[in-house]
Amino acid sequence: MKLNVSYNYPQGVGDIDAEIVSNFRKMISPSLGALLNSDINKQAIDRLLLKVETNKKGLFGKIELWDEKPKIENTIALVCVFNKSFVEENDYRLLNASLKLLDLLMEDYYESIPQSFWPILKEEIDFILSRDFAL
Amino acid sequence: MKIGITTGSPENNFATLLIHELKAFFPDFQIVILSTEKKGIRNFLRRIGFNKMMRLIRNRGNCSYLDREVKFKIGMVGSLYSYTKRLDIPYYSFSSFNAPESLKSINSFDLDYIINCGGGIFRKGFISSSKYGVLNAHMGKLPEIRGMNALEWSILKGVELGVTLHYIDSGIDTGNIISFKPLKLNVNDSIKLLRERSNLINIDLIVESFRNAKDHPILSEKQNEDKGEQHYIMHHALLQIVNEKLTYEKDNFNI
Repeated sequence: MKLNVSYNYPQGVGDIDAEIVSNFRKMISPSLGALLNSDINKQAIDRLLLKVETNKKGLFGKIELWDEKPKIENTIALVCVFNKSFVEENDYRLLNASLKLLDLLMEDYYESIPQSFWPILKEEIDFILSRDFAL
Repeated sequence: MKIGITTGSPENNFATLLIHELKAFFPDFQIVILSTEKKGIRNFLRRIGFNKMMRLIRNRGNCSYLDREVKFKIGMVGSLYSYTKRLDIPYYSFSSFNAPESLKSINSFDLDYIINCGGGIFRKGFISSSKYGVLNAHMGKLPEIRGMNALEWSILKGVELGVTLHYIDSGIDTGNIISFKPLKLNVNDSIKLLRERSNLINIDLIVESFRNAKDHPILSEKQNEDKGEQHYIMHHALLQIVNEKLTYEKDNFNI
């Protein structure tokens, strides 16, 4: 069983390459970058999930997760963190949080997503949509 | 024994049926209703929202298990408010259970237990306002399935379906566990039907716990924190997976 959700990408979204990843990592907050590079413990996951659920709109206001004013790229990074942890933990709560963040990005911030970040976002969305739910 | 029952609405059929069952087994129990609803049509509409009101109008005539049980056992279709009036049960309305002036009144009632049948988030002052504590029936197995959409998360994760009776503490579904009652899947079950049947099990579980109690407070066990996981509102895409599992894969369920 697959997820029945579709997202429209802008035309001409290319493949992800090392330069895109490098630029992306320069723009996200150091704390999120560290999470992407490390094994995430259960407490960190629970804290992130709570942040997403209680600050859905407020994610774009200041929360303690990142060091300065949050940006769209930080939210994309959070999707990456959740997807990475989902693979490691097989915890469907993380996939749930990714889906909610993607909705937020697609519904409210589609036009503002930097062109160069679309390949990263597309890869994360493709990953989610490819999940097989023969649980 | 003096029991406070909370409600956020005067149309609470769950609370109505619970009072009926408690009174049937324990005629000596004194019951008090603690309500947070504001009266009046404007407040009613604000409380339920436009979409729910339209759903109510569309579904008028459709009866849930609870409605049928209330009609069958009590012989009435009406509000909790009118039922309590009929039985001469005190009905107190508050702006919030957590406000200092509300707590002052609630403390003065000398309640032994409070049973959660709605009415909002309870803060520390309210949680400690009765002698033995606040009871809550949660539609999932604790500590594995804490939080929202417990039934749906249980199905998605393959956790045994059922209802857990527990004491409320300052966390969300983290209080000591009193008992668990499994919910068996039937061939034609949907989420809606399972939720309705869970409501009836909730009531059984509360009544049974009082019947089995040799002493008070009713015995309970601390939750195993290592197994505890908090759940939030399920995204509609995952809800769809849950519904499809329930429709097409019921035979393969290991729950």
